[in-house]
Amino acid sequence: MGDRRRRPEAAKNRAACKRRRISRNNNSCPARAPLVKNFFIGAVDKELLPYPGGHSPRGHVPAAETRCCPLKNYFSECKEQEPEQTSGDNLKQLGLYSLNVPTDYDGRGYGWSASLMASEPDSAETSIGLGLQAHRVVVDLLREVGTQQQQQRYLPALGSGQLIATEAIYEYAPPEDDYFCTQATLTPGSNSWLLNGEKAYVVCAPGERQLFLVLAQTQQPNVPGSLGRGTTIFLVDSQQPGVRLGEQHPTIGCRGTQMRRVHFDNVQISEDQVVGLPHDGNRHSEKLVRASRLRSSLVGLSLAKRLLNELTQFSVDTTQCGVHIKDLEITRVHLSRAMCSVYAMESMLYLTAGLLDEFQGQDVTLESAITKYYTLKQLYAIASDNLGIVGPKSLHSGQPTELGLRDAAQLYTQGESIDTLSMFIALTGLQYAGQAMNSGVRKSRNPLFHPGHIFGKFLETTSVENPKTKMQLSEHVHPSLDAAAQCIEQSVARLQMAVELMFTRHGNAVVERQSEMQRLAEISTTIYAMWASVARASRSYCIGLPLADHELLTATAVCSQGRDVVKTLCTEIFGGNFVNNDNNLVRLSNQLTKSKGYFAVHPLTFNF
Amino acid sequence: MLRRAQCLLRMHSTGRQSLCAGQRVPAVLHRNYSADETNSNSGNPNAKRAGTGGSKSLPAVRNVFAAAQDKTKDTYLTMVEIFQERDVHRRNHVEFIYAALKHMPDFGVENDLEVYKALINVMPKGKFIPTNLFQAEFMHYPKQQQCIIDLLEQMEDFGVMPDYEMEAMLLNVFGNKGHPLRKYWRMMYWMPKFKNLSPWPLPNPVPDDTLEIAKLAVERMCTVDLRSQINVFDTKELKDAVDETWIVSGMSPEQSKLLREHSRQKALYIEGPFHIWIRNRRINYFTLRADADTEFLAQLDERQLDEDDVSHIEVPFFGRPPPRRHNQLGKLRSVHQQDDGTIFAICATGTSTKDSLLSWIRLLEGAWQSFHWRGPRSVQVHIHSAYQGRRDRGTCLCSSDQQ
Repeated sequence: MGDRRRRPEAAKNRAACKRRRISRNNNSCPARAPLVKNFFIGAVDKELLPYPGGHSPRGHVPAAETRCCPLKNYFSECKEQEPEQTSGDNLKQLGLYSLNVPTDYDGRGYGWSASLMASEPDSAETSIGLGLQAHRVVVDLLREVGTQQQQQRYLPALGSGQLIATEAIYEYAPPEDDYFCTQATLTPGSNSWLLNGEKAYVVCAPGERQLFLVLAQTQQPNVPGSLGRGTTIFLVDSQQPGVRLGEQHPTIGCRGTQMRRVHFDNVQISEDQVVGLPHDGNRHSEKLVRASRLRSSLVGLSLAKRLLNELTQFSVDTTQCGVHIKDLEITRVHLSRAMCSVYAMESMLYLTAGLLDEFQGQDVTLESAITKYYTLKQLYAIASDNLGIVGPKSLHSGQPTELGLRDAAQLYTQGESIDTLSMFIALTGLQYAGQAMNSGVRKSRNPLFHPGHIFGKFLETTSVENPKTKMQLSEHVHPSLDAAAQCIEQSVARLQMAVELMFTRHGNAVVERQSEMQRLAEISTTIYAMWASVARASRSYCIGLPLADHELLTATAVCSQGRDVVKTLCTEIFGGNFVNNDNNLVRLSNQLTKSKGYFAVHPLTFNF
Repeated sequence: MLRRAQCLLRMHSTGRQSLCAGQRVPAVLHRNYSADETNSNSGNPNAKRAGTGGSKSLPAVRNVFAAAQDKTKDTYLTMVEIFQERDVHRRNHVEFIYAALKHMPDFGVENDLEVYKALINVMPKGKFIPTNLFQAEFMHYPKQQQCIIDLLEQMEDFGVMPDYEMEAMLLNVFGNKGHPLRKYWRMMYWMPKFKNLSPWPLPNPVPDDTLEIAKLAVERMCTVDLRSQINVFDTKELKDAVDETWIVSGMSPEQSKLLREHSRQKALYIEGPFHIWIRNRRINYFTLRADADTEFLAQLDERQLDEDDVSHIEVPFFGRPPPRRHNQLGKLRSVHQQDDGTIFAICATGTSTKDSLLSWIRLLEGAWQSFHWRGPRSVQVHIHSAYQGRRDRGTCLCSSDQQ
């Protein structure tokens, strides 16, 4: 490893960092084109390859690091004593409710990266972290879209922990043809709303005054029918008349948190409790889900780290038939896989947060969704793979593996399911790519009208097997990561080819090809994981962080694994549904639903 | 050459059979076995037209099956046994088998494998086995072989599947070069494949009760919508029903939703009776329908969509419905919205009268909470008599207040 060649690009890289550093001092730079969305059209923004926070000498981050110390101590001591002892009062004293509340309202005023960092200690306790993250998500939203008045009214109380905010979005039985059962109607003349309905899976801190962020279905006054239907975001205080905490949901994991139903019976809501514009909740939901996805990824990340550490400890301590478990190749490979996943999750999380901090109004919708998707999927994989290493005793109740698996399963499906998340990723990417590729797609779909275009396509020499790229990513990372950067380049090129092919094949019916979209989601997720890992490893090695050479190895492993995943998935997309088995599966499902389940008769059935 | 002649004969006989396929099933299987005999023996063209006269023109055998008093399986088998024991030569056994085959439905044994085996057992063992190549090739004992082929054909028509024991019997009678064996092997190739091919398998045996069959029929029709619910009502539940009968009604939540959204200005029709066949039973059924919502259907017309335009892909929030091309407004055409009308429910009643259909509407109101009429609605009942093409019309007003 090391500089074998002189690289003018290394200087370029440094220059980019410098530009960013300078602008950071003036708060933040103008937004750049979205990173992952651009992958879908085969473009990469090399300016975003340097890992954020790289060269900040005295930014928020180190300050946050020192302030985290008491928190870390508190949580590690807590674990030794009694986890249940962690009461709300202690959390208040530690200032955990105020991390991202602006300084104007007596908060700490941390940005994304710093507040994520500062909340790491509490996320290690999954049950506590879950509640705290929900609180912070609401604060994030208020900070971004709340009016001055709303901020003054809520933020000081939220920061001090007198008021604990939580999201009340999802419902137990959503209606068949609408978003939510919960309805709000504007009382004519009085500018106030009446809220009715019930929400489920609301994370509640016990015995406190709570502030619920409620999404409700509303009808625009002058537009009839489904066109006028929209969602509106309300802030509802738990002490308002009509708000009632319902039964507690017993859940598989995170038993320390209380999840409840919340009922709203004719709750009167004034106009200033509406967040953003009424009927326009979907636009703000984007900001809401972005925050919640990022923050829940952190909880997942902490759990994954804990599981990995526990498993490593277990394999170091255990000997079977005179063999150290840690020396078995199967264990080693498993541990390293988990290491790569955790490394990638962490890199993605802080890269995304860094983008938010550094660039004004940067579009990270896709990045945050991908971070959550990757984190939760890998977390669940780690948790279930652990069972194989630990063996039968791993499922005894109370075992750390068992608790970890339960918590992982809880995080995996809490709120939005992983499948909808993957659809979201693919659709968002396709939406962006569709706008950019529209004219080309139209030409490809009508080849006889555009012979020149098609002829040009025939002459192209690039293929999924062997994509041609000119991104020169390797000139923006440390030379040891040459091969890894090459993997990213090829993967991005393949993704673009796959997207273009899907558009050409299906037109706008592509939104119905969910199986292929799932592959797209997987591909873009993998590429972002590779990107973030390479960026981070390159930074670590360049500035000489401890064990940076192993980080290089990790990033290389993430990339070679990722390249193969992307290649396989792209080949499947190129093969089409008759080659990649999708057609068989879709056909099977017809009979499956007709028979309402397993349809094959017993293998020993007698016919003649 | 002989074999080709046989083939021609077979083709003719199947053609004839398909002509009368529209009749009731037992009638279909009154096969005319005399054809082969008349062609090979007398060559008299008039004998062919004589139809069932085949066995009558054979004075040597008294048709014991026609004369039997007690028409049960036991008597049938006893008669076969008597014939076997009557004399060692078993004269006229071919004619006997043909006569026995013809009268099977009268004895209700046409689906019984055991009976077919008993008939094959009438044939002498070993005598008809060809001993050289020429015999094998030129259909040794053609009349006997054709007789058993006809027997197998009748089994096939009735859907009776042979078993391995029958193979052994045929081997003993005709040897492994015999034509009946080839027929048997072909049957054993195809019949197991066809046996369970129906997408709507019926219970075996099919119940004899009309109500049960009506349930099967409505269930079968309701498979277009997997969420359909079948209700069986009794008109006794209503106080002002004239007919006392049962009503099998099929409706799905989707249909109930369509009905709820149906404009009250537009009429609903009950139409029928239409026919559905369950095995060999006919069931009359009625539909509750309205004229097609042409506006809605035109709105969904695919031709209006530009499939090439990929610049407007929507992304749903909070994990709700994945977008589809056709429902930009969240609307989808349901399977019940056909071009010629929207079907809200189907039913079969015990009496198929107008009164029972009105009772059906009232009972539906009770069964489906979502079946809100919101005041009176006009329902027209169109019952067209299937045989005279006459339409019996009536209009009634139904409302939940009436109950």
